[in-house]
Amino acid sequence: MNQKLLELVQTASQGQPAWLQKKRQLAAMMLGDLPTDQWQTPLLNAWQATPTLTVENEQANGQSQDYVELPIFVAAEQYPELLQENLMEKAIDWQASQINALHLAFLNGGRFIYVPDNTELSTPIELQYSATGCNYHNLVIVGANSKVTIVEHVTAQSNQPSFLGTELLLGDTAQVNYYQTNSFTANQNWQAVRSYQAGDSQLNIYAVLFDRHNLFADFHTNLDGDGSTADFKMVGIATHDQLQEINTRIDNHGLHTNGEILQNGVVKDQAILNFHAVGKIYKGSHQSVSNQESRLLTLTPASHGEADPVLLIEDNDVNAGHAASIGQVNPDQLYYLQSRGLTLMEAEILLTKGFLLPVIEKFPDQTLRQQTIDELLKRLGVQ
Amino acid sequence: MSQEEDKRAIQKFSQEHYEYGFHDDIQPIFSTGVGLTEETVREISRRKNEPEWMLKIRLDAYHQYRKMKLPDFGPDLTKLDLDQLRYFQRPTDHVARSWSDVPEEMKTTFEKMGVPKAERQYLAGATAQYESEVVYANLKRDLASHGIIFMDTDTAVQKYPEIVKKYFATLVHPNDNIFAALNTAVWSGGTFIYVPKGVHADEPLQSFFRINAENTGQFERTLIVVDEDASVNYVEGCTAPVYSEDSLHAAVVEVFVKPRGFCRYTTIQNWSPNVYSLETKRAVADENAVMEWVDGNLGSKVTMKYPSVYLRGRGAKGTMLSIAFANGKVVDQDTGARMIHQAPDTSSTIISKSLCRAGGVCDYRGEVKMDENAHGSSSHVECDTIIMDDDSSSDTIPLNKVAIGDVAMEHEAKVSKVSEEELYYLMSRGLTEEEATKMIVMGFIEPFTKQLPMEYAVELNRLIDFQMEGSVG
Amino acid sequence: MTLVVKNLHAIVKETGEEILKGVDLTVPTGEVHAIMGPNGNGKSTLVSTIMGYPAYEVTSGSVTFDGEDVLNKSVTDRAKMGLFLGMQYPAEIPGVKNVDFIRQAMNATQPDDQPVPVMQFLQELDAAKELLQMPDDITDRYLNVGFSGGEKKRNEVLQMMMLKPKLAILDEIDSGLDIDALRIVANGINHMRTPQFSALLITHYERLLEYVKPDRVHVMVDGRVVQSGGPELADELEKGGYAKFEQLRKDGVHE
Repeated sequence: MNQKLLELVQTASQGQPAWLQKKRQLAAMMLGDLPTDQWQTPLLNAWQATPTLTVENEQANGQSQDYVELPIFVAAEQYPELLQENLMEKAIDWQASQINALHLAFLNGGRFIYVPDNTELSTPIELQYSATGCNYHNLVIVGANSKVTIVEHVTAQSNQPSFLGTELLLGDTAQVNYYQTNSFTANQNWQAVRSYQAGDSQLNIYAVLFDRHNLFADFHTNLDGDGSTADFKMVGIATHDQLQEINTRIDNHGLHTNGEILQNGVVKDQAILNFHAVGKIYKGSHQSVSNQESRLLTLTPASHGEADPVLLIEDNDVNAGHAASIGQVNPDQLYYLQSRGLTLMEAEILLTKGFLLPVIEKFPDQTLRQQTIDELLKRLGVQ
Repeated sequence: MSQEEDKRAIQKFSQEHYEYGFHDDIQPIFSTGVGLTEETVREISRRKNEPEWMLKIRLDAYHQYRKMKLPDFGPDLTKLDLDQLRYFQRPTDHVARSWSDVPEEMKTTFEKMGVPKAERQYLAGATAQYESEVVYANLKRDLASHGIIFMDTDTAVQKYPEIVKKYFATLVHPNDNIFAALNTAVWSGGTFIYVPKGVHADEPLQSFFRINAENTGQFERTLIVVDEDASVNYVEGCTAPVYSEDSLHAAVVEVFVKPRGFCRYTTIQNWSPNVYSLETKRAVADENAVMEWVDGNLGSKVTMKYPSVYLRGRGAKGTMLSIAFANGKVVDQDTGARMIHQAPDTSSTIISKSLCRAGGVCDYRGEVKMDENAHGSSSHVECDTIIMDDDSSSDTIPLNKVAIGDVAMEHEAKVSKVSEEELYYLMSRGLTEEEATKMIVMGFIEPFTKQLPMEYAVELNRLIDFQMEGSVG
Repeated sequence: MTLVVKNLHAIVKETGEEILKGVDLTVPTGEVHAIMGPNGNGKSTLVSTIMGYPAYEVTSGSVTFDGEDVLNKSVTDRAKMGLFLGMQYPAEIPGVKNVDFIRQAMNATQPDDQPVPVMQFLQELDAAKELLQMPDDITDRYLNVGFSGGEKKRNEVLQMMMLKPKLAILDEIDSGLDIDALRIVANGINHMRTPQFSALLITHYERLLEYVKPDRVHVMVDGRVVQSGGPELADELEKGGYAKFEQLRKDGVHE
């Protein structure tokens, strides 16, 4: 156990509710006993070398009557029971790995959002803020039968590797549309979106991974309640020397659950983009469905990656399938476009758009769809 | 050798190496052949009269084996006690069991499949010899006239040392996995085939033709070399259940296909449910060569088999067509394929069909890798699984890794139970549920059966037919 | 062989929704009847229920074929009774050859379990293929795999001709067929017409009935048969559409 680390955490958590202080300190103490891997090590080392423990002091922007939105430390005081039970317990388990534990111990800020039962919000909740520290955490609890759209755009400002964690807890028959497009400053970053779903809830995640820095992304939902469904759609672009590791997993526990993953990515220059998708159907999860599609488009000979869709099936009354492909732009198509007057680059851009657009077009919100397309063009260096 | 001669050989040995002649300590090890020591390895080599270079290979592998651990993935191998196995078999060691001891199940299967009575005794382990000498002699003559060499590996070491020495253990190194190391140390039997340049072996070469008690065993070592522009089709195994008193079968197969050569290696295995089938099968294909694995795993306790093709020359092609049937609670079929693209314009195809029922587990573990030289290469993988009841389960774990951008890789997999829609459709035309299930299962594995020689396809049909009986509900 | 459907109620097992709300229908031996009506009103459900499709559950009512109860039999046994359902979306069975399947199905529905001799089988098959103007290789292909919509429908009719059922139920066999194909399929159906053969055709458009003249036409709305009449009823519907039945549906009236 690192004494210095513990003292840092004790200082940083001063003034916070007792339960939170204790939890953060416990995380610091147990750190060494938890599992870790090669991806976590650089972040763990950077954080411990020069810890950033500043806490944001800003106010929440706009709290309506219909739902609660507070900075996470303020929420810890005002809603202790809710946070104690749910902060890094059900979705992103702080005890699961070293990086999760240190993320909790070094917590800099984030938001708490609580949508009570039977609430339907017509305008999206915007989780848009600037993160000066490197460990920000959003905890979102959506009550039974509520419907909400959440748009997360956090800009991690720190030169230190950042861990942006978001937990989504859905009550019975809750429906959540969650869009995410975060941006980073450091060279290497971690992003986790994990969810726990009760019966008949529906979670749609639309993730846009266009940032230019190295990223380890972890998307995971637990379809615990009967009839719950999850649909993940992701688009990613990796250029120059970028490395992106995208891990996506859906666990089917309840009856009649349905998990769909669709991920399309484009790699250029010497970049690497790896898609790992896992669908696990547990025994007893009758009549469930798990489908994954991971597709990688390579634009240059030096760009490459992995597409590993894994199916772990313990029940037979199910339907599961996956498809993966890695390939280049179709040379016939390139030729055709060029023969109509486009330059090679214009043709490539058109075909890249054509590859990612079908996924983007499935984003239900018109404004966000357009924004993403604009982002795409900017990212490809056109605008 | 007679019992008397054996005893004398052992005494002589112990006198030479143990000053104090503690016969009592040593005798049990050699007469029962249980447990593995360096001495056992030497004894094996000595009894085969092997040249020095082969003994060296064995010993190096033995030392490697001692340093290695069991694989850290896949089925549970903890019940396999490597120190309890018989590493040193002599003809007199093969204890044939009496026909009345053969389980009823097995006898019924033979009956249903129409296996000839003579074969039944052999397959059931009730006799150690199979009278195929006559057939074999004619075939030998025919092959020799074309310059094709087809014999067991032990004899090849004696008769064609230059060829064997050139290729043996160059593709599967002892340090690849613990069972490869073990095999390289104690191998015995197996097939050796050499096809000279430009020669096409028209009829499939069948392993059955060279079987006799001495050469079937746990650690067969097969070496196949197909020279430039040559082709061969090798078939081994059989669909009927084979009783083996040995619980471990760790064969190693190395296949070398030279430029523009063709090799198809078909294996059908239906081991009794006490057998661990842990094999290492690897092929290398040079420029414009084609290597095809056709693999049927119908029975065993645990199977771990991932035949691979190293596509080393430009334009090389590798295919794998396999079925795995995990029928029963103790059965764990962990199979797959590996295609390693190391040259430009190479292509690979993997088609894997698995079926599991009654608590069986069938897992697919595959790898498609394209390195920096594999420009313009392509790969297509299809793996489908039918889980027939709710006691069984299946995992599909593919690894698709490319190191460059100008390639094409596609992978598809499906897991489900027998389709209700399909069942209903067939039943609505008068088939019973059992008949409809059988038809769907046969249709499911059809891409595999149509690649088998006729007799095997017919046998396989009958086998599945029988296995499906009473399976519905 | 008379088919009698009496006050049949059926629900979708998974949702509990009631689709058949008391269907009454009789198809006497030797007659060809047609069922028409707007989409989504229970026509397909009715015939699927008669054949025993697992997604539906009968909650009350009865179905008998020549006096024998149908509903307590397995799907297989209903086929062996002489019922045949040509489906709207026939399943694709990979790896199973069309010809092998037809042979096995024929043998399954033979009286006294005698397999059909090979030569007879092949002759009948060739004759049927020719009548339906189907390419020779259709029987070597895998059962419905990669067949176009029209090919699938014709394959259903081919099977019907080979299996020679006592009552052939055809679920929208006319959808997806062009005029020529329609005429050919109608030819196949007419070829089967004998005093011992009955047919129940679900059609969406009237055109098929120009070639296969029905003895009676029934209209199904909202899970019930709301009107029955002679062949002229089909003409009436073709001209006037189902508008007048909208009112009947609202009132829940039936014959």
